Amino acid sequence: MTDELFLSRVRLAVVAELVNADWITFSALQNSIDATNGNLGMHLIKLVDAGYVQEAKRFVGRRPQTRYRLTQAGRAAFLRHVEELRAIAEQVRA
Amino acid sequence: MDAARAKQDLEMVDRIITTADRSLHDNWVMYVAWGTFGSLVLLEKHLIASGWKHSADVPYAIAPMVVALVLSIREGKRIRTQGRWTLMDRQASIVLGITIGVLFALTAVSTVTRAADSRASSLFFNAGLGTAFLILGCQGSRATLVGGSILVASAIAACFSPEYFFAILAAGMFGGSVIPGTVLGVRQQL
Repeated sequence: MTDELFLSRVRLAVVAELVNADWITFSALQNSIDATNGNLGMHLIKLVDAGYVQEAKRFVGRRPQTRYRLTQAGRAAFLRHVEELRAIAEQVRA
Repeated sequence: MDAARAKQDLEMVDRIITTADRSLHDNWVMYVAWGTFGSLVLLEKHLIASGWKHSADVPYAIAPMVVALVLSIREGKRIRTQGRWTLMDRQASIVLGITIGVLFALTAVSTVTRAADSRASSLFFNAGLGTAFLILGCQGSRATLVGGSILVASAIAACFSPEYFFAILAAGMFGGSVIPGTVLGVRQQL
């Protein structure tokens, strides 16, 4: 059974981006994923609510900055989901 | 979920992970600033040990240290504005932070208690910093690896030449920190 949160490509891409990073800012994620502001924000809220992603807000100078990092639960769920995707893809080959 | 969709998702994940930035974002300014400070301090120690100078000039050591501190604070602010902080960056900040902290503390304590002489402290500094550079360099930066090798080599070489002990360490600090820092800086500007 695949993780329903990762059925969205945007959410899957966000978590894949965060796997190799300590933290990434909202704007850097937006540049990498090529999603609109509102769309990305909505998906990030779902990931944060699920406890997969941690959000931190702060000011850099006078500008607000929001950055994200993957939680242990998010990393485990992502690895589990990738294993399940592999299993589904392998079934067809077999 | 069907197999075609699973395959597409796997391909997307694979593409993101393989192209993700996992590199060490070398702070070349720090290498140059602190390397210059260390080299100048060691050079002064050589001049004193060889009789060219009688005692250490406080402004001589303080001025480059203040410049290095100001540059470090500025670099810290720049890092805060960058969009991505890799796992390698985190590891580098932990390894260098702990190593430099321990070395400074050990130098300060041994200076006050006179438990170890100036030669031992300087030797530990080059060897310790060189080891940290080697650990990080092996994982993500060729320039840091070369710098670490030069620092450790200078610590070993200095043991064989008591007369030029501090001069060799100063050259090692310059070659192991300032030169790699300059190379990284030039590379980033290009």
